[in-house]
Amino acid sequence: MVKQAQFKIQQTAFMLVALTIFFVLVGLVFLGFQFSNTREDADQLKADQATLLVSKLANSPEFSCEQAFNENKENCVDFDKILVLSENKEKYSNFWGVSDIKLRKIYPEIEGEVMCTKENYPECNVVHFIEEEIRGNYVSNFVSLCRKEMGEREVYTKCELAMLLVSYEEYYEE
Amino acid sequence: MRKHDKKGFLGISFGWLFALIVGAFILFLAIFFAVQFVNTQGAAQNIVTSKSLGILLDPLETGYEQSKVTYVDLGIETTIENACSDVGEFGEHSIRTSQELFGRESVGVFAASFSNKYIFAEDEISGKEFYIFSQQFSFPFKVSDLIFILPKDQFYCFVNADSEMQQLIFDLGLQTIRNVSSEMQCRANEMSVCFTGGKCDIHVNQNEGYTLKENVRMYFETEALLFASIFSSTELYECQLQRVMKRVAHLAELYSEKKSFLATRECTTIVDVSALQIMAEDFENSEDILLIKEEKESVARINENSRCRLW
Amino acid sequence: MKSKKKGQEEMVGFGIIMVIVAVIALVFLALYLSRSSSDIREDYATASFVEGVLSYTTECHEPGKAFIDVRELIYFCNSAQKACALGIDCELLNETLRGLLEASWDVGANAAVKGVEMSITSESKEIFYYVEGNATAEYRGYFTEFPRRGEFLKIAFKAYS
Repeated sequence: MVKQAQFKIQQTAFMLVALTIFFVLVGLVFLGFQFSNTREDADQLKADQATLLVSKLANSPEFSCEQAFNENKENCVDFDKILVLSENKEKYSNFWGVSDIKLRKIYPEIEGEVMCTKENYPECNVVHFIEEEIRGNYVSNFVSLCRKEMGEREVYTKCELAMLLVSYEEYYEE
Repeated sequence: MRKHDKKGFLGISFGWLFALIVGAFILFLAIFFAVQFVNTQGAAQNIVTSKSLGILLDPLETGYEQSKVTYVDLGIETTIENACSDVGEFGEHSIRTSQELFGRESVGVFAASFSNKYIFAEDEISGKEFYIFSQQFSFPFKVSDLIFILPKDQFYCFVNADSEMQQLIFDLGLQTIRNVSSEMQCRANEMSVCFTGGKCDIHVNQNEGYTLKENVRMYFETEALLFASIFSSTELYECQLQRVMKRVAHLAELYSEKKSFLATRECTTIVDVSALQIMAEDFENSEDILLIKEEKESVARINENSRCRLW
Repeated sequence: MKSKKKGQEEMVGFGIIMVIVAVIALVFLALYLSRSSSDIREDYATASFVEGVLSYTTECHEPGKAFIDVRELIYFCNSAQKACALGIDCELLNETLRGLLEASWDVGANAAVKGVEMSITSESKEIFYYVEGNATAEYRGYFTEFPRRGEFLKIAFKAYS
């Protein structure tokens, strides 16, 4: 009888210890999973935000052609306007909620990376908007890059192909 | 009496005692971690909801269309608090969400702030479902889309709105706004908006360009600001209008510089937006719209007729 | 004997409970993981590329008139009318489109884009066709058509990954 009772006590004790360890392990795994998911959610939200931002940035007043070229074009960036904008970039450093915005002319091709200034315009291929150090992931969008150009007799509209790149930061630095 | 027949103080066997202590400890741990987890999730969820709202508002921003509508179902009772600050280059709009979790309200911090969004709504709005729509605002160049958030269970009754307004409401497809011909037709749960006099909660005077709400006049120019004055609280309207005018001032400055730059490339224009820029920078309250709107119209006409347009 | 068997039965029962809990946890985990996140980036790059190409200002202009964009040049290449004061319409179109495609897409076996394909057709003929790299089963694409003086001109573009 005494031995049976002792055996029962041992059984109970082992069961409770095993149960506790089991639930602690499950809890740890679950919390770890949840925490990494929350971090992924934050990163995914930022990525989605950057992609949607790219899609609307070309149509925002600071970038878009509007009717300056006599027709309403979607995804059209006014090269003349953004050149001026790039020289006032300190005002817009936190405006769009992303870490970097860059415009790169794709065609006609220019060798290397030539930052646009008033002196070399339009024979350049990169316009950079935000002062902060470039880091993070980039999402991009093709846009028409249009400007006013002096022809033989009159000013005409010239549109080229460019890429608008937006960078968002990862939630945690690697 | 034999020794082992004597009962101890508690009369419980060692096994039971051990089981009780360990069981109580396990229960305590379980409840403690569950509460911690719910609190963390609640806070995280509020931040995610605020950020998600901000992202949902992105497609409504400065798009190609004149207006857009979207419907948001948050699933649980949510309170959205709007806060506006006109400090800085562009000011800022912040959103705080509070949601009900297991019957308790979990209050978030002002987690989402936007410099490039102009949201008009009451200071605090509650509900599970919301209509979010936008209207393009130009002054006279495109400035931004103004965003409006309406709880699905907040109903409006527009009394004697003109045909253009009625068509606009119809095109938006908002089921929470009704057009009627008399304020007597408005229901008790509807916010009445009179366009031609009468006894309503809100009065719109389109001739003089203001909306009277809670005895405060909010001046407007364009349809977008008219909607803003109806759907927004007076403080939020004035603050957002200040922010919008800051954007107008910055854009006017940008166009002035573009004009100088284009002149060097033999694309000359006589559009001069410097006066508009100064008036936008000096803008103090909605009443200043009466002064600035004439300058805006003049500048729009000149640009329209220019060979080398700025916008 | 009976008590030992009872103890064994209890341990087996406990083991079964643990297995059931583990299985339920795995099912929840599987459901959670199978939640697909929306990919809002598909076809976006290809659509904006094609629209950008159509708006590109070419070197072609009618005498005394402004330079025309790719959209207009496609029409002239398809029609009997001649637009370009200098050069042949279709040759210029070919050259421009090839240049745009080569500059825009980094195609290769080790690149993200394994191949690209673009075709421009009218109701009666093929106006332009370009292919580079390899066609794979997975691709992002964009298709558009626009009317020009009674005829529909169609553009199809695919980027293989």
